[in-house]
Amino acid sequence: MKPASFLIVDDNSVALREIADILKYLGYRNLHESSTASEAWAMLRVKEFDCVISAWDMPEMTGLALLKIVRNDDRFDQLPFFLADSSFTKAKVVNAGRSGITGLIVKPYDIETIKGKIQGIPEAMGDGPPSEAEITLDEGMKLLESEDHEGALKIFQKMLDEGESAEIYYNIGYVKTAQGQYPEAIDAFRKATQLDRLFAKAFEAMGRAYKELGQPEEAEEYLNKAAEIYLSSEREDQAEEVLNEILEVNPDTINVYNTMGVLYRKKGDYPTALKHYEKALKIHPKEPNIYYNIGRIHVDMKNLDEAKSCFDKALTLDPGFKEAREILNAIDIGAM
Amino acid sequence: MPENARHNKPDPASVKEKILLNRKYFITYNIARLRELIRYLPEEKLDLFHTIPLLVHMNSPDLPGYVDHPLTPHGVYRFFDSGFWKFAKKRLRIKGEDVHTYVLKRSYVRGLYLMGSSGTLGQTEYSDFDYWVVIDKGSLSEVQRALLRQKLDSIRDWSKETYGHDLSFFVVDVEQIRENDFSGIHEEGSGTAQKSLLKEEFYRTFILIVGQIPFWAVLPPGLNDAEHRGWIETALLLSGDDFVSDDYVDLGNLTSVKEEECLGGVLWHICKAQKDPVKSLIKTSLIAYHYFFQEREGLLCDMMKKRFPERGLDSYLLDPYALVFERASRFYDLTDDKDGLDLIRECIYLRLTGYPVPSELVEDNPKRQILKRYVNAWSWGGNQIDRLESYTLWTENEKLQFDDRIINKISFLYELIFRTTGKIEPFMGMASQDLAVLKNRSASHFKKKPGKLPRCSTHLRARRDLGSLFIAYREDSSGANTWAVYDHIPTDYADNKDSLFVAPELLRVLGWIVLNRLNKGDPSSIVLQRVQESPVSPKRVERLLGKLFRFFSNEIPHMNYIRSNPAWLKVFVALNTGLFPVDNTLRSVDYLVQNTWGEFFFHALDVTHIENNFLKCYETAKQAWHYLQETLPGESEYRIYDSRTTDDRTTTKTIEDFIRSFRKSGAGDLMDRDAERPEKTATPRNGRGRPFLDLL
Repeated sequence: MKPASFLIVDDNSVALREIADILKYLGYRNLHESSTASEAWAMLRVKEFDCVISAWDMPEMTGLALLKIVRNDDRFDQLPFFLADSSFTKAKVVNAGRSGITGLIVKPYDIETIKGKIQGIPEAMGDGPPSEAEITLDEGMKLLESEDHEGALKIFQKMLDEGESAEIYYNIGYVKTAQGQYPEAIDAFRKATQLDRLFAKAFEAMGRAYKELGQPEEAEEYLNKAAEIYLSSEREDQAEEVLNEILEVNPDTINVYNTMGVLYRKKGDYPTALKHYEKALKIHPKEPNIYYNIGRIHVDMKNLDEAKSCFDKALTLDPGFKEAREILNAIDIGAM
Repeated sequence: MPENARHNKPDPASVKEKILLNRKYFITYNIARLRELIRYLPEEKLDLFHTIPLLVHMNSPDLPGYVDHPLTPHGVYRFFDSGFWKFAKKRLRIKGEDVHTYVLKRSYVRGLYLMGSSGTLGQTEYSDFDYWVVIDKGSLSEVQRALLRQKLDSIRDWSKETYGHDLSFFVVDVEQIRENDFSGIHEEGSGTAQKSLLKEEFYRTFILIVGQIPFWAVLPPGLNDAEHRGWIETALLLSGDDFVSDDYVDLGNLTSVKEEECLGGVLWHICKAQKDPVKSLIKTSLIAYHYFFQEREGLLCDMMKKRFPERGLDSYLLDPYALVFERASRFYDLTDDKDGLDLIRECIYLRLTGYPVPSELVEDNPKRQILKRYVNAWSWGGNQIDRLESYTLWTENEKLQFDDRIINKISFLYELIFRTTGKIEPFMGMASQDLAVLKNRSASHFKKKPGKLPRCSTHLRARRDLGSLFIAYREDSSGANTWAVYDHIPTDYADNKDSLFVAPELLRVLGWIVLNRLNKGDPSSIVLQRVQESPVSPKRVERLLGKLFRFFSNEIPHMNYIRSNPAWLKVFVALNTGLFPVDNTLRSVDYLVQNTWGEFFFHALDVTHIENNFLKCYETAKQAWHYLQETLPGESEYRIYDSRTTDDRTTTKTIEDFIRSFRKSGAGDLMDRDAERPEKTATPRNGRGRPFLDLL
């Protein structure tokens, strides 16, 4: 069974909050708010709701107009629809009745009234039970937490029989790492990354497993891969942690200083980024990519003259450097 | 000065400081956009891009775009200070003193801007350049405006001929832009249909090429109209070495997209969807977003401006198109429209890969980078990606279904907005003629009519690598004889499933090719493939196709959508087409007819039961006259094509004589003329007939 979904409409944000709070208090979580009738109509056209509670008086389109539009559409002729107002004249009641109202609610909203109105709606129901797969995964994770590795492994293996999943392979790798079986762990992490090429945690764990096996080059490769994914998905803190770990493995790696430069540029910490690039240049003073990256920081800092000189340098070092030539061209025609 | 403007006038020092800082942000943003534009341009088109500002600035007989008239307006504000001039001097080896004779002392063009997909993730190798040429209309006489138009048209034509690249120049007046009046823009209905929508798009997507910086770009976001005026009035009083107020132009403020324009905007995109449905759905979804949610989240162009300071190189997430993608998707997210969300994501994916002709993106292409992010965020599996990656391999029918799915969603959005307009006048401010044109264009796309030939998929029409098309005559699985069109050589075993179009009549198939202008009207690239014995020879198919292409050629540069009921325009009558030659009897008459909306119709006349040739000619002429009678002489034309091998022209002449006589006698309603029909004609007669007129 799916949870009952409500569409609540009111141009008054306080009233909207009140009714939302009451419905939440009554245990309904699937609530959708709208501040105008037109927006509500748009939502009704594209999503199924079990009940609408709308304010009567609203600018542009009233709640009554919304009711009329709704009832004009065959799909909504049985949709429970309540109108709320601070008072109802006889004319209003007649008008609402003729338009197919389910019930009227007098504002301010109170819990008992709302509860009473909603109880009459057969569709109002609670959340459905979780799926079988969710139960199995939960069981596995619980066993993992209680360090019952063999038990967890059995469950994950069983789940694999029903279908491959990057997460399950990752969990198997995790168990194998905990058991000190690094080659098996690497194998499982690799499968996880093959299924999800942006699974940074799996790359990270694979790098660490290689580190444990005493294979620093592989460790650096996969940790760096994880850092790049973290960076591209704006998880800079995790990227930084991994990069520092690589520096522990190999303090003279130009790529890490370069990635650190990228990381700090993305964080907006330009001085630190420049420091890392300087370190990278000390290792490799004729690396055009580093000059390009420094130029990029100057663009971010809006120092177009400095940027231009860095891109010039990159192009001098590598006359076929397409990206550097493109940016220089853009600066030439765009700088005023 | 208006009272409220006086109240909103900020102090000059802070105005200067803020504008100069914002100018720095804007220029960096503009450079980042130019860089993207350069990235996606092939080398030869980069030359074109570098040259255009020079051609607008100068009027020289040595350069393209020259107009031989001393009053021709040209000159772009501060062109000689721009990088484009440096490029031009270097490339054309021009010395400064050589050119001043071709340059006027005043600059008629205040700014040259590119708008649309240029310099965004939406740009492809084939994207048009849409230039806005901003002028002071008041400073130009009518003659000068015409001369400027002539000059710009000449540059456009030169670009097409020399580089095969489409350019558009929209000449817009400063005052009119301020008032959101784009009625001068040439495309049918776009100016009055969109107004603030177009202004929003301009501010969101423009790149300054040469000229004045729009004040909007350097003023704080979210100003109301009075505040906007206050800032500009203060700025215009400023002076100093670091601030030249002439460097800026006031193109007006924008506080909201007018709700009453949204419906016209969607209608416009329904029409545009015929060319590129994917682009239209993305734009329409943005309009729907503005319509339903702009109060909540503000204008997209303002959001762009707020983020100018953040914009550096490769900031793909701040790309104007990325923001459009995000908001278009958000509309479906907010309305919980799962089907809509799936569709818009597919459209975004295809748009980024170059739809309507997608191609594989190299690993370091920014579009690939952003696609990776999207796919990850959307939790898409390999199957979904593979399906879209193989779009070019879909069958024509699958592509048509995809196009239809998009068109249906756009229509749904139209209906959604239409039904929720409440008290708003939906097409307020839109010229009635523009509205009629848009409604008719949209009807021409949607209305199903008997005999109407379908359009091919957007992909097929856009394919530039389309080699020969192959036509094959074969028996289908039900035993019926059909003609089918393929984009590859059909095998003996292939059925019609992988064909592009199938019909029982040859003329219908050829009409479909002509309607869709496949192979650019080159009959020699259409090959008749002999799968089984064909009733006609390849040479005859080519000859017929040549006649069709010539008859339905570009003589109708502009479809006339003003009339709500289109008139018949061209009638092609084909005799005995696609039949095995048995004898010289007239056994089939097929009609291919085009109307003033550009629609094509096929009609087959059954003449087999008519006893003699003379009567068959009469019936053939009668059907042709059914089309021709609706228009005035001179407005429509017809051709009769006799496929029979004989050199005898009697049949054609007889039909022509009948048509001529119908025209002469002013036979308006054929129903009325049934009474004058000779005996034993195809249509049953009631009662005693009058003797028929001697028409021969």
